[in-house]
Amino acid sequence: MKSKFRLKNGLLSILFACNLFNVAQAQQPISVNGFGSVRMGKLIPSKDNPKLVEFYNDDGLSFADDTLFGLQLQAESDNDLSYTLQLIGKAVADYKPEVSLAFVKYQLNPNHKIKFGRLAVPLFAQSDVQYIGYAHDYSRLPKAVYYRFDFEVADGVAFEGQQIYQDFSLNYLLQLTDFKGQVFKNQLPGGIELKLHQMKNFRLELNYQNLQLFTGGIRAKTDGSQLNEVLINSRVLPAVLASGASAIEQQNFLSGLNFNKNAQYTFVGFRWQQQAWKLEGEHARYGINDSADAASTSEYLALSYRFDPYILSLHHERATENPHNLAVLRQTTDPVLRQIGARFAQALNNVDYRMQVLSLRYDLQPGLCLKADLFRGHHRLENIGTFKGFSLGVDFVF
Amino acid sequence: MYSNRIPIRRWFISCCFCGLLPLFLSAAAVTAADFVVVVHPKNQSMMDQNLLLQLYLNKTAAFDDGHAAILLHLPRTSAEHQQFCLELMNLTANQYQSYWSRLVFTGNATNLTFASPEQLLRQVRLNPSAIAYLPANTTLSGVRQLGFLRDGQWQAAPADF
Repeated sequence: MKSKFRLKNGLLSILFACNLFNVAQAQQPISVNGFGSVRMGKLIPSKDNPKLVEFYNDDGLSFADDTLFGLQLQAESDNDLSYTLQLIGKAVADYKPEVSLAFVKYQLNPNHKIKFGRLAVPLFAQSDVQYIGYAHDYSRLPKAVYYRFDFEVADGVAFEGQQIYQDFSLNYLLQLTDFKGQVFKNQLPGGIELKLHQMKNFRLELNYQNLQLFTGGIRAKTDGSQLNEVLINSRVLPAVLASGASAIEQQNFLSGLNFNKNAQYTFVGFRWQQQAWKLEGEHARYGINDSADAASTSEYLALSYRFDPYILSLHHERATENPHNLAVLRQTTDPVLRQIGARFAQALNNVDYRMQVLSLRYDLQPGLCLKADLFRGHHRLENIGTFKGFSLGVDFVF
Repeated sequence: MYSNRIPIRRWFISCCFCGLLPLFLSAAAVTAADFVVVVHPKNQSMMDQNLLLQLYLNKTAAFDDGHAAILLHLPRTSAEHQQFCLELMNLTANQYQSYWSRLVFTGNATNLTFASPEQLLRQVRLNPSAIAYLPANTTLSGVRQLGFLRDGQWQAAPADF
């Protein structure tokens, strides 16, 4: 994940810099904005650390996992055309800059626009602001859903629009993107390469007075050659060859596990605000269909109360992968192969935890807030069990 | 399996003992005030409360005549800005800044522009796209009054303004 966004793919950045320079030459204003989070925290495991992505995996107090700085340049060459370049430097990646957004926006009319370039993928409802700590009330968005996947951003084209009718407003987003990056970071340090082709992404958001309903998803063709190599060929193939099953059985078994299929992500959620109270929740389901990657489900439900300038939030979150979903082995009858498949599925799909988080946000002034949270969770794996922890930090925008 | 429940009550009580609750309850209330909304004299668009709300929430980026609008705000720590946010959008200034940061960092808006009343008036006189709000008792010249926001209710200015 750390390497994907880096400036090795710098052509886009250079093009944008040139565009911005040209705009500057035309004496059009360039707005420079930034955001950041500086947070320290600690996870106190009862046994082993659950090793959730960028979530206090090391012993002791950590300043790195949630600490980041972002810088954004925006320029308009006329009323309809604008350019955005956003860089993020995460402490966990030693602040190496990653291009998190880089796009040209063309405003078709007051209600519709198109964007070309590196875009935020509507993986989940708040994926586009998950690193903007100031924009939400939590120390970090619920980890179970906002797990920090590489394909939160991808290169492509987007069409966005909105329709307003009396008290209703409907926002919609359609995208066609491509992605190449690392996944399965809990299986191998740094992750394993995955390509997602022809990602067809959408998001719908319906607003009515104090209620928001949202849904969205992506569907893509996966090129999981590296996943097949690292996870199947090196870990499973030797046992399969030694199983004594027929060649056809072995072939069917390996075809079932194969990652070169369709990936699918969907989410649905709501947000309801009444005076100082806010209730929001989201449910997501995702995975690579009919492969060794069992469907994952994750969800959270949060209740917040605002005592301006304070906001107190309590949320419950849950992430589950079902290692016992052996539908992928339905064409496999050989008992030895089924046993190998079951063991592999359990090793690969081992995220299963619940967590409760109490968060406090204190707005020092517009643009600057302090946050603290306490969390306590339980992991299904016996070697992990219960864990707890806390974090303190500051979020800002300018 | 998940028998270890979060000790919510214990945490809440701890927070109270730490003195946070009295701080919550001491949040100052802001009294209602009147605002006048002004644009460039050449801007002949009409305004109602819903359109003003949509503009300041970036739900729409244009006046009713289709011309782009540039929003101007009084200083973000000023009592007037805080009051305007509450009266028009029912948001505190902190909430409004948080809401707007979502728009900025998704590339869907530029950052909020803040200025003193004098600077706002100067910018509105110079820029036909600008729209600003000011305390209703501000002495105005060289701008067109669109209307007034009084206790959260919009009142269009008479046609001869």
